[in-house]
Amino acid sequence: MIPPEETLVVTEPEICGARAWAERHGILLSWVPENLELRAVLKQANTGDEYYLRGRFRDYRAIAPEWTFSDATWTQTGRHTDFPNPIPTPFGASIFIKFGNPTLAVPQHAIICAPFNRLAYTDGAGPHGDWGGPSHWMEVSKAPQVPGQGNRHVRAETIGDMLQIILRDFSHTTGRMVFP
Amino acid sequence: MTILLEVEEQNAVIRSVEIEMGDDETVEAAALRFAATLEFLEAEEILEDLIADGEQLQRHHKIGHHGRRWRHRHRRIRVIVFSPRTPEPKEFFWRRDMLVGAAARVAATAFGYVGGNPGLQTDTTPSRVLDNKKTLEAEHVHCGAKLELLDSGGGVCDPS
Repeated sequence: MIPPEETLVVTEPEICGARAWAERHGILLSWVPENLELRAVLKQANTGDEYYLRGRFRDYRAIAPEWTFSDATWTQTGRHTDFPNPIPTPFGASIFIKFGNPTLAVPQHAIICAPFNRLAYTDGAGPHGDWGGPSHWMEVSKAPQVPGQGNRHVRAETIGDMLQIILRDFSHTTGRMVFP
Repeated sequence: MTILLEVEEQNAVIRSVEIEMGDDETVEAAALRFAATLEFLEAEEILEDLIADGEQLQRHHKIGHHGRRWRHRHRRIRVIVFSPRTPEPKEFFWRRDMLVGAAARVAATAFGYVGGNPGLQTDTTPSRVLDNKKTLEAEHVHCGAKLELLDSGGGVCDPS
């Protein structure tokens, strides 16, 4: 486990870039250093609804951070209703998905499915046992292109880049995800 | 002798630079020096449009035969690129016929990105992701445009 003060040293310069990014995009962003937690409020263009994006950075960058959408109090996470409902994007499949695995007793929930999200890996109740675990997140991002399919994995190696990818696909959503 | 080169963009001087050259050196040699000093222009590009006293200079001309104030109307567009990684943007001078994908790659490298699928989007609301396969001109990137880097890789997840 990485001491939080070391993680803070790593994250602070990235948070600086993320703040500037948020300002450019008119996004309310706050950093809670004592929890190593980033909060961003994204507004859906076609509904005006607000979505509460939460990132947690324990053991970052050795392990991918945790990204999810939460309720307005930043506590409950993974609920379909707190996630935006994806529509097709020009980049391929959306990173916002539903997932559950009865075999592993993982209930249906919503996920931001990207290599830079710890919750996309099997260890984090996500679908990906094929990515080698969240400590390999940088390698997954560097996976070679698949002929005829382009690069299957979006690449984001800093907090600002991750936010950019999430916003990119967020702009291709309408309404809220519904269960199942 | 000292030669002053003024680089114009839309009838305004955006850069000026002075170099010292010998009278018997060629215009081409001066263009190479200017290009090395300015960094954002290539010598061949400068030579395409290089005027002194109303006369288009030729590469083999001797410098001593011309005036000391030269003008180049450059055809590149100045683009400001932001990255989500850092607060400070970077300035680029790109040819209008440059592909968006190539421009994005140049910008990404300048910001320290390695690999990936760099792309560019506008700073409008909502932003528009430019087509990597089109030219900057075809994507209506104008002089002074502000763009932002993003990864255009996709198709992340197929849990089945």
